[in-house]
Amino acid sequence: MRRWRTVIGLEVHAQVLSARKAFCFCPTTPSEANSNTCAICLGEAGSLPVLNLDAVRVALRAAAALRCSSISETLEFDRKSYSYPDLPKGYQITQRRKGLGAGGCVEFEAEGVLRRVGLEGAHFEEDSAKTTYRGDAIDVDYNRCGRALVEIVTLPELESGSEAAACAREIQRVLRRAGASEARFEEGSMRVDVNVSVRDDDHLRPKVEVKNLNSLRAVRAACDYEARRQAEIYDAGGVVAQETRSWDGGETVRSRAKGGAEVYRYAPEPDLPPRPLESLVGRSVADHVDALRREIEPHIPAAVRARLRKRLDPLAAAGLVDADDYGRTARVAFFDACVAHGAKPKPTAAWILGDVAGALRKLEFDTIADSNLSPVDLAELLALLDQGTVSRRAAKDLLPDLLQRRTSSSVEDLVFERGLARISDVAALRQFAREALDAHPNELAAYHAGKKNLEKLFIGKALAASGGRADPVLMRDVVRDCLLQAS
Amino acid sequence: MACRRISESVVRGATTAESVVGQALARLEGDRFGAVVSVDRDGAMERAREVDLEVRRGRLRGPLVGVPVVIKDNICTRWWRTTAGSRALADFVPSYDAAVVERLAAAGAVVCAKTNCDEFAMGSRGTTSAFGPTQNPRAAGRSPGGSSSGSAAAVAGGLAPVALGSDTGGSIRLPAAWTGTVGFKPSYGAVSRRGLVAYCSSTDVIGPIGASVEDVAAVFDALAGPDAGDETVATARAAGEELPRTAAVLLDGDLPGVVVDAVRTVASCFPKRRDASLPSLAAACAAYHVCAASEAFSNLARHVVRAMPRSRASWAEGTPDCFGPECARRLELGARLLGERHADALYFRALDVRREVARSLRDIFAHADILVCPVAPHLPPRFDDHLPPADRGGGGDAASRRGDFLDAVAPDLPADYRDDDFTAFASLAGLPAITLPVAGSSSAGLPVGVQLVARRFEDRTLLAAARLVSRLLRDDDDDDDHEEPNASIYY
Repeated sequence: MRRWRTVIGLEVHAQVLSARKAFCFCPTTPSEANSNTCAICLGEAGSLPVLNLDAVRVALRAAAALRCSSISETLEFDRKSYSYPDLPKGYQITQRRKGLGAGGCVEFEAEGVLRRVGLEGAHFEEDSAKTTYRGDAIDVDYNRCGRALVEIVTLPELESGSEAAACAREIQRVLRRAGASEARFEEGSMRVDVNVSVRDDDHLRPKVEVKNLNSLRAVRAACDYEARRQAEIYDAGGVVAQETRSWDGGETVRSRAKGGAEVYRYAPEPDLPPRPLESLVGRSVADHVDALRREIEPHIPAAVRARLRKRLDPLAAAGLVDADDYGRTARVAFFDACVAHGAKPKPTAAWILGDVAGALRKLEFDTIADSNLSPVDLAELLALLDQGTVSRRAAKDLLPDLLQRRTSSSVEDLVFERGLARISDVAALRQFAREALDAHPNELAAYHAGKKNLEKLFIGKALAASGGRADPVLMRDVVRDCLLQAS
Repeated sequence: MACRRISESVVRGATTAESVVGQALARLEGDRFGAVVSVDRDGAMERAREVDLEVRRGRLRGPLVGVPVVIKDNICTRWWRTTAGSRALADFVPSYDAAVVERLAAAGAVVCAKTNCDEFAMGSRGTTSAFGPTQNPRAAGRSPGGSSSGSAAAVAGGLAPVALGSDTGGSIRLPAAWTGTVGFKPSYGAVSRRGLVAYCSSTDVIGPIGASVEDVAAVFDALAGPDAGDETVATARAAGEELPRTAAVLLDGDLPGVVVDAVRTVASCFPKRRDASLPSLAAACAAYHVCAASEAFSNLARHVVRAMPRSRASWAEGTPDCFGPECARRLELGARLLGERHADALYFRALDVRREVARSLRDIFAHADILVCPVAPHLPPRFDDHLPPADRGGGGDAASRRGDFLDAVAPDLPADYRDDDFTAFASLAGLPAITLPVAGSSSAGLPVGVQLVARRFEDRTLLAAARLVSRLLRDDDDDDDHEEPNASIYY
């Protein structure tokens, strides 16, 4: 049996954030089927495309964020012909000869390894209509038809399904951070096609395209399935047909809807003459891309992760960056601000990712920025914790108040107002310890009979009786003292 | 002329748009030439009454007020069937008016009828329409020329004073020449194509056909100008009208004597003349047909998608047969050129020829203001006459490269593609061009047209030159008093 290596390239389609479609004036807001349509996006005879410059500008953000190495100086469009009900003109307006940008790369972690995958480039095109099948009938919703898409094509450098999924996830994050796309699989604003082939030694076999994968799980599973299927065919002496397949959730199947190998008969789009990009962005393309990069780069996951790793362990760095797609860098910005106010990086990250995240979830805040918790608050709280003024438990109890607070009083004032300050008064602690012992006579008897590890139980009960405010180290001593006295 | 007379009478109150349009409708309904596909009597009368109302309010002026216009049936009209001469669009009712229809209405003109044309404007003889052939009102039994056959025939037959046609490779100029009318193809980008059923988008132009230069100029003035809905329309206004002095004269190949004489007569109107040549007219024409078929392939795909039932079974069976034979042949050619013959790079070689043609024309216009040449290599043919295929241009490396290109594509081209020999080059280069009838120059009494071509966007210079020529040829220096038979019938 030969050893086959998997070779995967991605084609990611993401809907560009824009209030109207790519080549007409129809809105992109969700609405009743076939209500966002006009003569242009329905391909009525005689209609002509009118380029949505705003959508191109937004798509350019994606190209800049993906570090495309060369951004095209002119916008040129081509027609890609195929005949299907989802494409009323019979062709799609796309960019074949020259995209928005060529080259570029994506950096991501897959199974703990840092990977960097090259891009062929990014280009602008229009979306097709959404088709659904009712038996033999084809239902078409043209609301999606003509929406602006940016298509990102990676080089065939991915080596497994999980790498492919991680790469798609990273592209999703980059698009969101760049403000270029919502990139939601579940809403169809992001779709992935994969090109899968296998190689032995240096002989690369023909690729098979699996289209329209609508979740990261589908990307991973379809790639792995397809690679295995091809290897098995070759091992059995067969030939893999170069074709288009689709993923049915369990296996890839030959795609019947749009046939196998297609001839797209690309040709220049005569209705949209080449247009200098400079005229769109109001300055030289190089200057514009530089400015975009300066704006976006600090938010790009790979760059942010690299920066955070200097102060945090990789897991915490990834946590701050990864959990946070749409709020751009809300968590990271919050973290940075806390540190700027003197908080220690590691506990700050731990709190943001742990207790704060939990409290946000419980109170149904989408992001930390939506709550009333300020970085100054958290820095102050952590300082009080550090000084021993509040216990961990008390600090945690204060979080919901801080997230929803309307007042601007300092955290320290709040701590005292709520009586949450740590109790280190021995007489008070002894009171709590006595209560704990009195409440558990059987356990106390067992303790004295020799079950010495019950000490922990009494400490725990005594701390609980204090509402978590008691100093735990002092409390241990006090409980031990009480146990001795009780014997 | 006809336009101005009608318009002045309507504005003055000597007659009403309703009356003028009513008479035009009666003529159009009596069409014997196969020129008209549909007449919108109710709509036209209503629009005419609106024009009269506006006139009474003093809101309308200009040379088109109350003028009945017919338009080629590949120009979209809201709520009014637009067929492009094809079965594929037999029941197509556009949801919007073409830009030119809006502009005509704004100028006070009244669109009365849609005219017959070769299917999707693919033809030069007026014979490929699904609604039957168009007859030539000026030459019985002969082709009126295409593809704007109905528009030219309507004007020549006195059914309407002016018409809109579309010109992709000669489709306004050729029928104008063969019906003895004036046909003007504006510069590519001077008039919006929004609402024109596309054939070859990179050369399609809408323009007027009329009985006089004044009429087509009046219509052009109404049509021209930027349109946010068509990105290929130039935003700059066409240059002013300087009278041209030097004419380049292009006579090439085996031409009938009357055509050569007519060209020389027109050229003699200019103070200075020089001979010009284009390296290979036949190659330019072939390149045009390659571009046209390639663009048509994607442009017409939407009609197939529209015609298909929305069921999986129908899509599995393949595309329906909704086009006539000539149209189907050109689409197959386009599919081959962009598909399996893509490897031969014929499409890209055609683009090379296209650039070469533009270069040659720039050279010609470096030494001349206007180009004078025939419109067609022959007089209106009988319906069953066909030209022999192209003779090959010879001599020199460039010529032999063009020869190879011609050899490679000639077998695929339409039977009568050489009809476009003298018109295709201006289409490829986007230049404005006009056909003028030269009266009485054919011994058989057949109409003979001569073509004037100018630099791109010098449309008004071209019209000024054409006005000058037609005045000199009429030998009448006071054209205001000149009575045209075609004009007098409307009031």
